Amino acid sequence: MNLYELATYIAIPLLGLGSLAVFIAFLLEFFRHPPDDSQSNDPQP
Amino acid sequence: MNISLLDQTIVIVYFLGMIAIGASVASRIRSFDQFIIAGRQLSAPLLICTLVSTYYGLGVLLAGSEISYESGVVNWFFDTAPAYLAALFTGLVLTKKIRRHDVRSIPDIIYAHYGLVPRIFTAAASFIYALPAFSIIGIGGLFHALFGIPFEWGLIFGSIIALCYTLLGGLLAVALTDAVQFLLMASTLAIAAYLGLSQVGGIPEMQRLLPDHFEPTGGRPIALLFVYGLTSLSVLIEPAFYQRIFAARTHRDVVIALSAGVVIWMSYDWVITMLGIGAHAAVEQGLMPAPEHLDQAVSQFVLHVLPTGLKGLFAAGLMAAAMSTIDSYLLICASNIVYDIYQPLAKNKLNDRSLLLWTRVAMFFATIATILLCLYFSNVERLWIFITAILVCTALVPTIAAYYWPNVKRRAGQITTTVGFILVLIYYAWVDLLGAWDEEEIAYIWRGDLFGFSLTLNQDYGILYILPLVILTFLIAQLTPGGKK
Repeated sequence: MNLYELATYIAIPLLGLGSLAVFIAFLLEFFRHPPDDSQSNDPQP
Repeated sequence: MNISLLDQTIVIVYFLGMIAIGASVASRIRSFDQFIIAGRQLSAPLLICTLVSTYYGLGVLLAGSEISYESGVVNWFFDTAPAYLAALFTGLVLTKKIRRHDVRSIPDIIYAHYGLVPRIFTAAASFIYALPAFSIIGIGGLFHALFGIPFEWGLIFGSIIALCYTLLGGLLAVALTDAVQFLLMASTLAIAAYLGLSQVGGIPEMQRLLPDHFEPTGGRPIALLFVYGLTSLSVLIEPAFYQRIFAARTHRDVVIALSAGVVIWMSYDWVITMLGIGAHAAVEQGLMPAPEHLDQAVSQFVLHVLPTGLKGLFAAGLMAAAMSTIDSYLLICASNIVYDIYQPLAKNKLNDRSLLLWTRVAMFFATIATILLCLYFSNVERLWIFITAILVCTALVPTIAAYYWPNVKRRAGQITTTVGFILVLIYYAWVDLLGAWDEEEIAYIWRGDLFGFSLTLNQDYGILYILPLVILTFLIAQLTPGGKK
């Protein structure tokens, strides 16, 4: 197996499963903490 | 490449779903901040979805398709890889400083450090950059290909749908619809890559058939590779990128989102590249006819290998790629007109309610401006280098200097933004009006004498000459004595 093959074997599941994992994380967070009107939590100077 | 009734139904359900999401969040939008930066409440997973799907519009897919079909892996190594480095630098280094200040856009940053005139030039450059012409042309072509309706009507219809849900829900609706669009785009491409590459015999067979396609430089001139590398500098001042960073809940969310986002970007680009080479291999093997337009090679190949049902999902994914870019950039164009240009020039400041109303009105006009631009210019490929050049040459140097040059002088930003913006316009107009199309260089070229020197100017190489001049102008204005800080 050369590097191009290896990169492709990594990229396809990363794209498919990675996007699914991110979407599930988004759904879980969206239903646990729906967007509200609160402002940024960053410390302001 | 008309698709079956089932696939067409899937695409229509997708459209209705997008409008439903916009309508469902409309009641939450009560202020300009909620509309334009989603009340600064985007979390890391939502940021990943919206960053990836916005940046990867139909333009990237079509350009990636054409370059990888024609030249191979150079698409990944030189057209896309430099952008990952720029994205990581922006997200991990630049944004930490910028988020500490109460700013909503790049012109806001420029205004805080250099004053009104640089803000207007930066907003104008950002407006030109953000007009979503590529995606609107792409969506017109998609409607024509999938449903058989005329290109012009497809273009108008797609724009109206994107406009509807963005007008209703602002950035929050855009981000939520981006999440669905992100999943559609990424998952259907992954399935298509698995099926498509297997059908042509895998990577070893592609390497045997098309060995030149696996050369990292693809046999291109070094100067052109360098220009493509320079265009990735636009990520450092990408308006949609910054808008999402300002909209994040915390800096930690930005860091997580960009670290994960870059990995998904890399995979997405690699898969598009392999599908482009796979499409070429399929043509060589006689599995499918040669594509009429090279930018449609990947979509034609994917629709060739996917079964009914999944074809509809992929078509919806293509629509999603276009929609996620159109909605985001229309929002930026509107805020450039109202918030960055009109508001500072107006005698009576707009209150929050009026700002929100006029931003929605401006979105409508930005859509019409983009549709007219698309109907006027049939080929917008070369527009990409132009719009990138104008944004980079106008705003890059003063934006970076604002945060990393101690005691930056106002006049340095004033001169740099003016010189950058005007020089790019003059350069392009000069070569366009006085030069001629060169079939060998595949570009507009002007040849002539200037101040006793014999010169050859390639229109696409404008950024190579103007950016160093802009840097020099900034240094002279900053390092010579005098001027307010």
